[in-house]
Amino acid sequence: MKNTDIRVRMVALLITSVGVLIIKSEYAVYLSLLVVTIWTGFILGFKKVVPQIVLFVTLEIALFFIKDVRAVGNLPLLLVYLRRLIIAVIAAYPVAKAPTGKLIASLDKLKVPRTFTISLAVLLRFLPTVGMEYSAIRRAQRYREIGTSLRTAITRLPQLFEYTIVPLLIRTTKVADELTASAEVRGMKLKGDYNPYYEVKMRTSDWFLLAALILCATGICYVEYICGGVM
Amino acid sequence: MIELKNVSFKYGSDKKRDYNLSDISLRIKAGECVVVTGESGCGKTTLTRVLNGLCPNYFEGTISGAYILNGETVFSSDEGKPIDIDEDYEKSLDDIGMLAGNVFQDPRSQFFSINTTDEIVLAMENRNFTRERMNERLKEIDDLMGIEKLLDKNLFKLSSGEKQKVAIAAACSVEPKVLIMDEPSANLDTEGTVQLRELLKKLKTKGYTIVISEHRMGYLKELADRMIVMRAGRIEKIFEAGDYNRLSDDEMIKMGLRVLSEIPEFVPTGRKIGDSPVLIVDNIRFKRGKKEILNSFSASFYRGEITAITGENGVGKTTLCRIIAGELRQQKGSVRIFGETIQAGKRIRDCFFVGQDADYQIFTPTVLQEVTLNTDLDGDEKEVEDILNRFDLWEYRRRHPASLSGGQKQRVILAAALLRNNPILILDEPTSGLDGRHMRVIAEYLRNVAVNGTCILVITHDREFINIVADKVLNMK
Repeated sequence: MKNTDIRVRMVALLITSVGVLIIKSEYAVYLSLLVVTIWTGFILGFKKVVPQIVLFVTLEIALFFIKDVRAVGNLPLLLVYLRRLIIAVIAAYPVAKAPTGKLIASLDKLKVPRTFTISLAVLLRFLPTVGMEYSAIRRAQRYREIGTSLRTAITRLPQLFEYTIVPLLIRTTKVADELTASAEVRGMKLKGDYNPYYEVKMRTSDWFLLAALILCATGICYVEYICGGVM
Repeated sequence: MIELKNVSFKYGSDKKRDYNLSDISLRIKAGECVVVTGESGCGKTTLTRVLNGLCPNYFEGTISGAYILNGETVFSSDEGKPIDIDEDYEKSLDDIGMLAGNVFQDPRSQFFSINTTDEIVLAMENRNFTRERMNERLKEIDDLMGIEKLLDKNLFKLSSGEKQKVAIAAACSVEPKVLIMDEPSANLDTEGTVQLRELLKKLKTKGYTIVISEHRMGYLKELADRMIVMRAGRIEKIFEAGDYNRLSDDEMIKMGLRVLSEIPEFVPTGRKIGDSPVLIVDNIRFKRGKKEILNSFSASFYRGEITAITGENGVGKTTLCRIIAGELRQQKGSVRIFGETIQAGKRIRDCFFVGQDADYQIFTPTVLQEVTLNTDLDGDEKEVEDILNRFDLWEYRRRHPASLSGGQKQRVILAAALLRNNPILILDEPTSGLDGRHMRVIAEYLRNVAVNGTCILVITHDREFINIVADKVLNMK
């Protein structure tokens, strides 16, 4: 399962994203959660899904307690959609966790323009960097008593924002500059030939998985139908 | 292989601005290993950028002279006239990249991919190599430097030595004739530096022409055929292998460089103030996941004492310091400051941690504001002026700290640390990427701080620096 074609993973993500938006029946929601958990669990290992499942269950419990409380206004509705978003996040994992090279090779095979695939590669490379830079800045701030207590963080919010955003911008601009230079000398260009290292090819097992996915999606649609949902 | 004739370059198009490189003429034969050195800001990095074409194709500027690579003209201008980059620059960055592979200084910003295999094959994918050829090249690179174990791994989880190996493998992937490296040893521990030397030896035997810009040159001693010393954008001196190997420590120090001779064993100085330790780390245990990082670890530190904390990367030096500063909570044992056990959350009040990269630690628009930030002091007080004078920063007091040089930024943070009056000061690799002169300057400043009674802990691999500054070495295993 670890070698499942990235395009099949993308199809699963696409179906899930559309599905969680349009289904109405709660049974179909639970069934979708079950299917995506098994799907992602088999590809990446079930450990990866645990935090999302815990979050889903927590929201479910919260919803149970506050659904009839008037004082919270529209909060239950927000939680309902947040819960559905978690299902899409679980389905996104197998795509996001694929090696960038494989992901780009798959998109290339799907004839996605190089402008988009390079931007995506940069974005995926940059996200963990921004995270690391941010935590390094926050660490340094502690020694200067910047935003160390909740009270000062709130009373001096604009200052905290400035003291975080300025170094973050300086650092990320520098990293972006050096990263581009490093890509340019290695022949990265928008136009011209490019041959991905990873061979993108649907194997028999991928076709089976795709068929299983479609079958599951159809099953969920049927549940939605008999439970009187939107279908 | 490489020929530069009267090359001059300056960043930007401002006519009044000084040239960053002036009148550089240089011939490097095929298979030679040449090390370029000099004080920070002397133009070493700019020279490597001219060689790989990033100057002026990516970092824009004015360039003149002539550059011939592998017998082909890259650019050539008449009698010092600046060239028109669109018209007269004959090769593309891509063409130069096929002949010259690059290893940049900062591992955080040179890797385009997160996965190691993606990174190594990237240049080949972009040059439309066939899959068979890419696999062949991976096999050849593995035979040369043993990278098989490193393939298909998360780059950010590798040790610094392994990262460097991947960077060199990626640079060699398209089989260039020249390798250009910018301070490849800056982030390596002793073991990593030894591995780098062995790898460079192999690359040299394979016929690669190697140009290395570097401060720490001890490891290149029997490897480099020539040493080029630069100053203020010009080549000051060129030493052949036989000559530079004979340079004495005094001659190197005079040129503002690091010494070339074998660094002698460290001898503790016994220097400290008082007999009772200011900081005691008692029987500490720290585990991250299943990995035991510190077990039954104990140590004492005194006022006015500078302790160098050494050991291979990943041995727990930074973890120990972060526990001392209260950023991490030990699972067992205690940390006592002035004889009193202090809980993790409160230890930060007594400690100041100066990280490796100054850019993270600068927050305000002026040096004066920076050093007095969240203290009871304001910029007019005598104490502030004294400290800024001691750190040679008074004339820059109204400047934005981000506009200062790397060494000056580091001094701003040290001045801020001193004005906060914390009894414990921790520094993480303060001399990484520093030339000899600035390394000695930092050592002097630290001694100045220690005299005041501050207890200083320095995480470092820099043996030359340790011998100058430390009173005690804590070697972690």
